Amino acid sequence: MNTLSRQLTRPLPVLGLRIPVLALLALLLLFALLVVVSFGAVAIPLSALFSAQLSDQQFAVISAIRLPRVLLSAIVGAALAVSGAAMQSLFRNPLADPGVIGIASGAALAVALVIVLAGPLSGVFALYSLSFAAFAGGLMTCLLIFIFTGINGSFSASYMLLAGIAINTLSGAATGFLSYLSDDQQLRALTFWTMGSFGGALWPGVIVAATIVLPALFLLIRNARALNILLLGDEEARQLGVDSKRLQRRVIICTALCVGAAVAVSGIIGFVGLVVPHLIRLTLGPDNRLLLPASALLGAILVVLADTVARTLVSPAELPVGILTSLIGGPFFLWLLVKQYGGRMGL
Amino acid sequence: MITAKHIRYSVGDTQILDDVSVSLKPGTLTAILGPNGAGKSSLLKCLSGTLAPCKGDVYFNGVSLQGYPLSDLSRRRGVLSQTIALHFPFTVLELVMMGRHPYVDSAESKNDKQVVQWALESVDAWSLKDRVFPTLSGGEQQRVQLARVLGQIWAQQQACLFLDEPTAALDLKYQHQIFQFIGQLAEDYALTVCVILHDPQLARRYCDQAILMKQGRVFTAGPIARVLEPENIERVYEVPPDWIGGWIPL
Repeated sequence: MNTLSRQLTRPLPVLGLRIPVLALLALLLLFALLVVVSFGAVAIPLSALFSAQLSDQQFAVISAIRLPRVLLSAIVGAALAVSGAAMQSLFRNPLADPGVIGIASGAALAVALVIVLAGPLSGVFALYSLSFAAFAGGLMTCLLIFIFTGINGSFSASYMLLAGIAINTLSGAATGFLSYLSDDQQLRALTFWTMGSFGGALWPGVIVAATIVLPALFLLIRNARALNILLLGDEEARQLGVDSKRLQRRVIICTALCVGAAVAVSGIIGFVGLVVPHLIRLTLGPDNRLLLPASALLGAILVVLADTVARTLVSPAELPVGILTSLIGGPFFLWLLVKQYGGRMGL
Repeated sequence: MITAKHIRYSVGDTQILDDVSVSLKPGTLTAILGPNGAGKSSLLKCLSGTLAPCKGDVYFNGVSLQGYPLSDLSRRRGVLSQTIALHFPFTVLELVMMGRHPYVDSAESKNDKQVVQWALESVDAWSLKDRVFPTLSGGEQQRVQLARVLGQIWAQQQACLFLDEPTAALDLKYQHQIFQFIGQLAEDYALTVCVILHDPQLARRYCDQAILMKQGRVFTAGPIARVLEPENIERVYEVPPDWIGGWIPL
């Protein structure tokens, strides 16, 4: 049976629940942001935070280190989760994810090229050039996969996943070759970067990511209803007055922008784009008008929490957060494959 | 009123439609019949503007479909394709509401909800409204998709409806019920209906006109009784006369 969920009806009647659900998620995000700011090597009790009685040192830790880091992880989480959700609609395939189909590794390759070949860069210019490189890499990969999977017109799961494997392998090899060429410092930057981390988060990074991600998020959410229609098929969407080609182009560019910015500031953080939209879809249904904003909020919450675990678990050292999300996301992906697609993929 | 003038359609070197000219009149049901691979679906897609013909042109009320704005067309022309795969767990209600997309600005109005209910009731599927679409049976899915397309052109005068084998998965009762309903719509709203069918009996009973296709060309077209003469059937389908003797009583 070609169904994502084997339930005959949906557990929750979600018509009309859109605003309350989003408000609840937004509150949770706010709460998570406040709480995790107090965690870390320098203890800052919540009571001190709320009563604004902070020592100079505590204030400096929060404003210069924790706040940018926490905000950046929220932006990246939102960007990854929304791109996953939008891509799943674009490919009409619930397994699409920027990591799985190779967009993140394409972006990573482009960034590796900049790190190794462009020489030392610094400041906001470096961040923007890395973001732009990651965007260009992501866009190229996205287009490539889109062309591949569109060849037989059906966007089949097997095609998409196989194309993703090929692209992941290719860009992995190319990134490997670049690491081989690089000097010690570049190698270190590259390695950390492919594991995904918010370790170096500073305000410029937050601003760069926000100025790229927020407009793209806004545009994607504005096209949510048209994205629903696109799920019926290209022809059906056109018959219902949706210019499917234009919409697809727009979605590809926005997701490449989101993934590019996320990869540029934090490296590769896997599986957020797969897990988050799935959780939302399982509980609230597939309507993109709810799915996209709810994924953004839940993605932000989860990555903020994951990053807090990553930086406190082995404190004062820290784990790359990408390793943590992959540790959770990998088994989840397998579970998804076995439970919901067992026997129907035709691979 | 839909008019196709000398349309040709080919994919690579394969000629699929070869110089086809037909016209469909408001208030009538036109059946497209013919053997497998005769070009029926391609003709339907060209007539509905889903495919652009390589040569020739299709006119909707005198205006070429090529220049017709997508949003105008989407309020006046509904198309039900043969297969629509949907792997996402939308409910029946949400799916049929998608048919109202051309009318919805930001949120669905009361009227849209009412139309969705009427459309579902007209195919006897209102009781399925909260079911998750991919869990429905083939026939149920077909009725729900039909409701979506009916909702798209609900209460529009002079609209067109294109249906590619709408009754393929339906049981005997629904085959008749749905054709009766569509016939009534055609009469009430001057709807132009074009439908691909394999069952000559059903076509003969509910359609006014027919287009009989063979190898990408129109073999013959006109009033249904004349087109479905036994000798036409025999020549187009290449079946011996005794196969069709039983099912063509007038």
